[in-house]
Amino acid sequence: MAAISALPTAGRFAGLAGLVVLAVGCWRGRHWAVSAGAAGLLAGVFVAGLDGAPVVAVVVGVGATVLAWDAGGTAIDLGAQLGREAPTARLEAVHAAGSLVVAAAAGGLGAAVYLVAGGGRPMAGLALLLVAGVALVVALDRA
Amino acid sequence: MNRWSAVGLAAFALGATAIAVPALVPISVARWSVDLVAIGAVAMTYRAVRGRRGRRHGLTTTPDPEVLAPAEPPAGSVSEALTAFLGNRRVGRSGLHEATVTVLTRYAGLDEAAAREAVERGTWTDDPFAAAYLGGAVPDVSVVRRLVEARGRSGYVLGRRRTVEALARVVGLEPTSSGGLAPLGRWFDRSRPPPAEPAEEAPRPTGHWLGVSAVALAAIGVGGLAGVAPVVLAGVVGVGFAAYARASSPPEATLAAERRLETDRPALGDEVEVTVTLRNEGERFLPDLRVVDGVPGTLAVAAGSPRLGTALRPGETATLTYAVTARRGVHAFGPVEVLVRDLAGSSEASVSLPAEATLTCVPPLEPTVTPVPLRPVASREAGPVSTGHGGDGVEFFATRPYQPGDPTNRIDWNRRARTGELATLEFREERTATVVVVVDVRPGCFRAPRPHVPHAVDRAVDAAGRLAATRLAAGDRVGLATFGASTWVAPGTGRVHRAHLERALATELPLARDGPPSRSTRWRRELAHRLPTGAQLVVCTPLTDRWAPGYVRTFDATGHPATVVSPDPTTADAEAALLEATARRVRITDLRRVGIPVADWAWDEPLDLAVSRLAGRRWVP
Repeated sequence: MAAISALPTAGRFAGLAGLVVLAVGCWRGRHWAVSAGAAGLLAGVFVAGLDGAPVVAVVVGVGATVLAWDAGGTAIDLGAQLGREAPTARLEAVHAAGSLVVAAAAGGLGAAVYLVAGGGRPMAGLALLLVAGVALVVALDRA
Repeated sequence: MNRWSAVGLAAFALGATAIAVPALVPISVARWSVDLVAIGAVAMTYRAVRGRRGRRHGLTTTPDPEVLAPAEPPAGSVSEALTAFLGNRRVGRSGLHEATVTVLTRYAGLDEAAAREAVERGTWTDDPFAAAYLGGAVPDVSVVRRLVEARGRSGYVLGRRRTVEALARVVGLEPTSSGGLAPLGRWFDRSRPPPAEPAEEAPRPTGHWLGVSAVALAAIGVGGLAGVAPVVLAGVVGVGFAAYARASSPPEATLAAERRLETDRPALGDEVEVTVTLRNEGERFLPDLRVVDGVPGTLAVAAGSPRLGTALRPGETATLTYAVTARRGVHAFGPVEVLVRDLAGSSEASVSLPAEATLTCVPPLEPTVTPVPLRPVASREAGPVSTGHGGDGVEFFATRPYQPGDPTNRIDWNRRARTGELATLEFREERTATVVVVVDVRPGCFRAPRPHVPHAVDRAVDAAGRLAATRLAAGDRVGLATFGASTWVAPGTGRVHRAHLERALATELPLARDGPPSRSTRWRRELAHRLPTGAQLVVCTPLTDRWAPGYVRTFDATGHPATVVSPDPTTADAEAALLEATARRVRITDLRRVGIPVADWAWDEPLDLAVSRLAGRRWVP
């Protein structure tokens, strides 16, 4: 019981720490820090999900985390390639808009599937869908 | 389609069927099979994260056009400096021994045997560490002091550093810090690896989204193990981004660039505004353009940034504006380098857009206050070199008995009135000198005390221009030549010649070292062949290598009296740099000892001061 009640606290801590590390990573221009911070944020969102947060909140949380990671990484690369003085607002806005559309579409799809299909699915189907998800993601990542 | 996607699609079809029409897929699985898949997902998460970590080197580097291309770095080690000093392979203790003897024979009035003895007995310096380093006797200092002085370094390193510093003091240099080795970091840390050849390469992956699949895999793993459906479904976001990164098509840039200069013939030091206009001439939206303009390495950006990150719709234009500070010479702008990424930022292509522009700056020749004194020499034409002969001129020289045919305006009528004798006045005969101003542009001369500032050759060219202007104003015939290149302007006078010199100095002398060090001395034979008989040389050289004095002495000995004006790019901070500065002092002393005047022009003083020191006059600004 104690472990379960400690979970939300740990989640909050992971989320906050992730936020701080991500911000510092952006400031200092360190990719690893941005990634580590995003991982912390993601852990926070997952913990919230395990703790019973609604599906929309979890999907939005994951989407926002990916957007933050994407924007941070883009900013660091721009800093390395173009420096601090160069005007880059338009590029960053266009890039962020593209990512936002993807996050909204994918997240919307996921939430919709969850909300439309109720409970009571056979275990075999669920397991096969998970296998499909893992295999497809791994295939996509081999770009 | 690879194995993973085949497995994925098959599993998806089966799973969807099992959920929609359970009767068609009559397999029943236990809860633990879901756990198994979830654990597999966690393992794959780890792989995805690890794949991300190797990515950092993939970022395309861009050039650094804002600053001047770095000057040549100083010696990187004491051994390197010693080799340049002595010209042999003696390094370490024996090299410094040799260098100390060399210095003592010049500065302490010792002959070689006495110098060697002083070094061996350690009497040449007050510094016990330096004396012991070369002499062998253990320094007579307390253990505590030795530890404090060494600051964690070995006794060898401490002794070497103190020896270099003691040597520098003998030649009159004051070490500015007792820092360790050469701080070469400042020379190299800013100069990144040269950017890849900007040829039109195939689009390459940037790795920007590498590892995003970890989001989906972690969600499936965590959610699957805990049996929490919302978390599993949140993984869809990760799948979406992985697909986005994958599906994004490689960009095909159809861009045109145009560069406009506010003026292409600015005055020296003017800030020239540069405007680059970039136009998307294709049919496609270009969402990610990273633009770096090709500012010449010989110009520094004064205001604004020559870089831009933007997106362009078809037909749209973007401009970037910045200002460069005009410097001597012809500066050709390079192409505009553009990195084009797709919307997701997962693939990238380099494009090099031609945009020609040339900036030419010809600084006016400004005379120095004090002309550089010339060496006494006779030629046949009238001009400002005092000859030590009586004849035509303005300054009274002597009287002599009248000879029939002397002009009546030269007869000393006062004496005729006083004594009745006829005598003729003679004036000091003045003749023009033929002066060839020489700029040393050999590799090894492009040195500066800091990496991104004008180097010693820039200073030498500046000095050459001013000295030439001064000698022209004094009525001499002035020409221009170089050590190390074939630039040649034959001596002459007059306004047209002056303009010619002005132009040659600005446009024909190199702005940066071109090519690797070369020992070719073809220029030497050419120059010897071209120099008119009796022409004097004013050589502007930093004297940073051991060959320069030899060249000066050879010309001096073959009937071309030389004067050296030497901008000093050395610094007195690090060990190797200090040794180089010491070597340069010794070269100057050696030249002076054979009667060649040398103006040692410190980096932070005006040329007038150095020249007036040579002329033995006080210079008042």
